[in-house]
Amino acid sequence: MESHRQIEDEVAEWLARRDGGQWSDDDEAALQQWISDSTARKVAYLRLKSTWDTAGRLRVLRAGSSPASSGDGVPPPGEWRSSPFFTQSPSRNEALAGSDTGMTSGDTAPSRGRGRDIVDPAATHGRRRSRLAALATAATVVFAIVAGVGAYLTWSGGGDRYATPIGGLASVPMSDGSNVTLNTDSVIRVAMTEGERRVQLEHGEAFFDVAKDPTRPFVVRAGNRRITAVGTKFSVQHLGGNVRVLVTEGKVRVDDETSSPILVAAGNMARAAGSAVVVERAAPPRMEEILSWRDGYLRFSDTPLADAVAEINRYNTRKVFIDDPRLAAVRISGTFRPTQYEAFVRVLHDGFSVHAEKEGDRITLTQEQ
Amino acid sequence: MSGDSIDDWFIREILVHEEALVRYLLRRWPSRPDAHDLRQDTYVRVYEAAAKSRPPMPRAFLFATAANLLTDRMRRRRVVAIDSVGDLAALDVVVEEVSPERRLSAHEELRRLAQAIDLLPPRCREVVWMRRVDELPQKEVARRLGIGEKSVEKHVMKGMKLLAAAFRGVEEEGAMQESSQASSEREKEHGEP
Repeated sequence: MESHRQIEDEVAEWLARRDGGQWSDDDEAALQQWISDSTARKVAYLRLKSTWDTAGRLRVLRAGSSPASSGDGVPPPGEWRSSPFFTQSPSRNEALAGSDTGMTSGDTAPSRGRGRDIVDPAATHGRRRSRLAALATAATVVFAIVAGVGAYLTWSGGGDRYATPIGGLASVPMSDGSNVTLNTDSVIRVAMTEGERRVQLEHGEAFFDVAKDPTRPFVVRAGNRRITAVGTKFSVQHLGGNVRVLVTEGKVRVDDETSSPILVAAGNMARAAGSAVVVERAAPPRMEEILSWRDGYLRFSDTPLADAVAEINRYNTRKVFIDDPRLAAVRISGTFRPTQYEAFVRVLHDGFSVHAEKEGDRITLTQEQ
Repeated sequence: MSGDSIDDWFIREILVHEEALVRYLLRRWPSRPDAHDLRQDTYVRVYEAAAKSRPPMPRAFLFATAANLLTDRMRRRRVVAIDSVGDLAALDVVVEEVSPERRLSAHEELRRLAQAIDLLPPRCREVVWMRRVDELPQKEVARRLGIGEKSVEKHVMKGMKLLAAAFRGVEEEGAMQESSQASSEREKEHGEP
């Protein structure tokens, strides 16, 4: 039997030749024939090709970082770390190592990396989608609970304040090893005390990757809700008085200090408005969609245009309005850079004959006749 | 058309576990190059089995396949790694299914790739960067670096292998050193090999 090295060499040789560009249909047929002769070749092919394809997604670096985007020359090793795409990374290790690269207390979060207007759907979306397809199960509403009267919690203020501007995305490492990723237009206050790790989400959205510490609960306050975790991962969105909690790992407790607490486990989403809390299951594809902002993208699948526009408007000072109820109901799918609303509008124009009119900070969409 | 061909499935459900798989093999098999051959043979078995019917728990199936393969080999070779027998409990720990959240996020995936590219020998790295990140045509890469197109192709070939090793998980011993040597030799040739 051939060693894995030999097979890999042969496969890489084929792939490199194909990558070179001068590649005819006959060449492709010959390659496919050659691969189909042995499973060993097949798996080696999949392994090399999938990595090479994924590497193509690093194109986002070119768009984001200023030195590399000048077009000439390969940046020195490690320079990609200062690309906005990575300084705003949700990864804890990187954020700790590079905590001097952007986020500081106050209103000085780095702005979101400007990428290509639309993410290459074959590279990102297709791959993700196929993965999700297998995980997909219908999201079902499991149960609903009505909690007692909400009393607004008082918060003494103080603590360290972290904020992102509209269109911003930032990773905030905490002193306890936890990490918070802040989405656009968000403000948190952080106070680490001996008995409690306290975060106030004043408004906006944040993803919490909480370091385990059973002796010091991690408590997020959002409006009149209190979300308590020991070591887990969850996101909290606090917009216009509504609070949404999505748990991706472990479980959290949601309460408003007057009613009995609700436990929300991984794979579930709790939505609180006024005094009511609704908990529903979120299938993995839906979860990934909701959390796609952490990677600097927004992903929609079969989303009503009205919802997609509302989402995109969170990331831009220039707002999009829909002037036609039929248009508002159109459903769209795709992956977008949230700050690239022009690309979004262009897709609508090309795909749905939508007419866009710009007037100051308003973009109005109407259906072309 | 469903987007879930056996190939997609294999990339998504099996290849993502390479790091864990190789670690597992290395713990139970004393020789590193052999472990990578075992990895390859495990893939072959899994792929062939899945072509007939997809296992419902891919990760568990992958590790069970690897464990069987190890047993076969050990019988044949009459070599036994110290902890290679009788630790089914350890296997159980390994086979628990991952939640989607524990897979690499798209972001982490890219970080890992960028790190992997940094580990490439310098010339190879330049070529990979220009081809994959800057999307320059092969001809243009050759022109900028003052080397032949065939050399660009060689660097791409090496880059593919090294990236897969670094990105997919456990680096093969000597792979990087070996290739950086080879690459500096090739650069001296300055053109066609």
